[in-house]
Amino acid sequence: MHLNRLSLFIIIVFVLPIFALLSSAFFPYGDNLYHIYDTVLYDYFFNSLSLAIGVAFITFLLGGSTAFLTSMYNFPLRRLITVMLILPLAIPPYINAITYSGILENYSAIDIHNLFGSVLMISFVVYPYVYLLARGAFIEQSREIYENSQVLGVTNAKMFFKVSLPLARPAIILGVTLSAMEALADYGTVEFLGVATFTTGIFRTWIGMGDTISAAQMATFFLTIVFIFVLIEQNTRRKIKYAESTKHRRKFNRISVPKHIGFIFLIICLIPLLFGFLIPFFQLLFWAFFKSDVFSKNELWDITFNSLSLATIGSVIIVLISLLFTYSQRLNPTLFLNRMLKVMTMGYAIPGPVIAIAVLVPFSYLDGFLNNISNNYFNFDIGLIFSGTFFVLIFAYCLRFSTISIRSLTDGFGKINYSIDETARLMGISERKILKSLHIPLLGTPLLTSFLIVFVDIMKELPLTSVLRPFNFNTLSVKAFELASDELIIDASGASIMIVFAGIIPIIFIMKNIYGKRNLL
Amino acid sequence: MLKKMDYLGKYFLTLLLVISFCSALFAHQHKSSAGEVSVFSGRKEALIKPLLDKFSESSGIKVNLITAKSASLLKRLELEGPNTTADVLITSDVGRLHIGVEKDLFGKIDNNIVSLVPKGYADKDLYWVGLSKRIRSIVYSKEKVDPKELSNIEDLSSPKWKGKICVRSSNNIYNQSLVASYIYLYGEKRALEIVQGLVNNFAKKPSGNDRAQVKSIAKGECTIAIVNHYYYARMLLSKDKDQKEAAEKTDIFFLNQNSQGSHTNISGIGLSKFSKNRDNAQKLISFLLNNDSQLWYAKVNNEYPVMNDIKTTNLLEGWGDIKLDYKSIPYLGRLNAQAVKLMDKVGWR
Repeated sequence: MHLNRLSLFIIIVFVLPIFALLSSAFFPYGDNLYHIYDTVLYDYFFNSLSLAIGVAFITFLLGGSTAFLTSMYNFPLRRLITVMLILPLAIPPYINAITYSGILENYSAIDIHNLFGSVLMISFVVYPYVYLLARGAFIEQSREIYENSQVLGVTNAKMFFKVSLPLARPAIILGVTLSAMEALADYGTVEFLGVATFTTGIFRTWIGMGDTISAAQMATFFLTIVFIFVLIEQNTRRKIKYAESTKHRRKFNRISVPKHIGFIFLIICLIPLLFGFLIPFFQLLFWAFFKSDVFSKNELWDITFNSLSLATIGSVIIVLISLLFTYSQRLNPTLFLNRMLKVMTMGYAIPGPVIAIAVLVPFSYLDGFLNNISNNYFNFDIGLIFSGTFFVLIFAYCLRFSTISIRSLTDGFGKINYSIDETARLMGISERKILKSLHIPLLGTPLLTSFLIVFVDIMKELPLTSVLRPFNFNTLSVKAFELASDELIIDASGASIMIVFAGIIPIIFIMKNIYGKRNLL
Repeated sequence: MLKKMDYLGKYFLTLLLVISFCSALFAHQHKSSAGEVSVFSGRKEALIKPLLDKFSESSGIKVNLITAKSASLLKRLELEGPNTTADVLITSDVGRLHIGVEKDLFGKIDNNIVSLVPKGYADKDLYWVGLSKRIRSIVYSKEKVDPKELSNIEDLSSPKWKGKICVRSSNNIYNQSLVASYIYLYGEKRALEIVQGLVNNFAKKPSGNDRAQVKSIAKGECTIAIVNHYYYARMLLSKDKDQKEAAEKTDIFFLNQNSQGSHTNISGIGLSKFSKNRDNAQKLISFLLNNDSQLWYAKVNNEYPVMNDIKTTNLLEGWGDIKLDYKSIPYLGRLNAQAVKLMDKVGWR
């Protein structure tokens, strides 16, 4: 199958930098590594593990409960809340932590400068991963299951734990895994809050000790652990077979509940919204409008345009590439492609600057190679074709963010019955047409969801963007983080607010398309 | 390959190519040209761009800029090698400049320029020059600390300050440089004892940034903080009431005035070895050292100029003539790894 060849070629190019990073494991271990092992490795390990578990647990609670309530029950303001629950995604965790630190600095009773604070600061803005994916899963569970459960006299609580939760498990676990990976790759938040994790350790080794190899070896060790967890998760899942019924999708009738219970549900949904969005958002808005003059500068609008263009192009390419990979895997599943996809989906746990260097190494080598040829044979300087262009930047984004789209499209394809493909093929419909008129419409939710998450992630991304960007190209995240890290959160508020606004537009647009058209909102 | 590929493969390939092409159009691939100079800056945009704009205005030379972490830019410079489009690298600490020299990334700057810079603030091999000075100072509570009790760094490790000192995490380069300077001055063994004593006196686990330490004093969590002087100055001059009030409860003290002088780091600039616009780059370096630019660092960021005899701001002048430990500067970079390990050993996280 030739589509597979194309996929294989592209994916190999993508995973090469990851393998280059992993190859550091074969270099001899230096003194610095032994020093780290003797002194701080346990701390790094303990903190990273606690952070990942803590974030996984809290995002599961926040995202899972809100997804279930908004998809199953009718309660006051439900439609509005359903859309708004995604908004925290638009706030970068680092900015969130700094904002809270600013709000709380006059209340010494609440101290977020610790592990627990980091867990909360990250969880409050990443739980929408779980929420979005779980909600998709809850909604697609067929109504019959609930009706049958109710006929059999199963209570609501039992229905949730025995029926809904197990059925939505793959989606929820994916969301929780993404959240935990994001927490593991985080540098800014934990550094600011004074928690030493693997990621801060990797930078300390690289920048502080100037030891790139030991840093790469630490990253390799760390990735190996993450990889093992991901494999365990995927293997336990394989034992359970999901028979999804796609035939009987009817209009969704939500369960009506008495007023006081509806009110409780509303409160439960307001908690993450309040802490993850309303408080930081209005604080930033207040700073931006009343304490600084950022909006008066024209520059901010140019930068917003840059960020929007970059995020749009980046997320379209990432979703397309993921579609290519997952579709070839569906047409002609091979173990090799499957393995490569697993490697590629490690990207989300790799800290940004590590990816930046991993990507720069092969491309600057290629640049050097091309220049040598052109100089020697044509006496002509072609300059840097890759390094410092959008090509490398978007390549790096693909490595970092395609995790989300590859995994949610894999799940999406898994739900489409193979008999549909077979029937269509028997009818003589071409593969392209099957993809275009059958799969893509059926994949609506995962496609739009991944586009949305990747878009917002690129808007928020800092380390890759700042070092790989071309000259004179500024983005909102660079602007916001630079000012924030220089302890000027008030001046950073303008750019931060624009990140949020720019994120809100696609969120609302896509939510309408995911849920609105099918009357699922 | 294209012939063999089936219809769907071509479809995907075309789609990807079209999008890549569009993004390439959207891209503006950078090629250096005669009237330009390209800057990699570890100093943040707000703290360098206005100055670069002035340079463009006065010289007619266009400045291209990327700002990011110095370490990342240094790596990019190293990887791009002879093809790099960067002409200069500006860093906010001397350690990175030292790494640049070690990795052979810099070319020599004209001696006429380097010789203008006072001794100790430029590389003797002409690979970099300092632009501004940053002093790691002590901020103390006016209410609880008598400045007469303060003297030098060794004193801060004495048990009388137990539970009284606030400082940010040791991931911060300024803390790493500070410890590196003590390794240079006292030798590793004594430096370890001093830093161990200092860590024993911490009021709380290091977190937050320099300003946060000053606020901790105002909140009563500690009485002494280790802070870069310009952060404190900016708090005093801040429009934000909370910051100003916190700073006003405290005062600044410069350590080691009777010995080697206060620990100082510099922001500086190196000329890329493979610069294609060497003349423009040197013009930029001279410009950054002229009186107006030097004064600009003081006015905008409250840093001390490296050049002598520049009357800065009232606030900085008011702090008097400060004796600075410039002799450690060339060693901060090479002792940085040792400093980090030392801090790991004594539990400064």
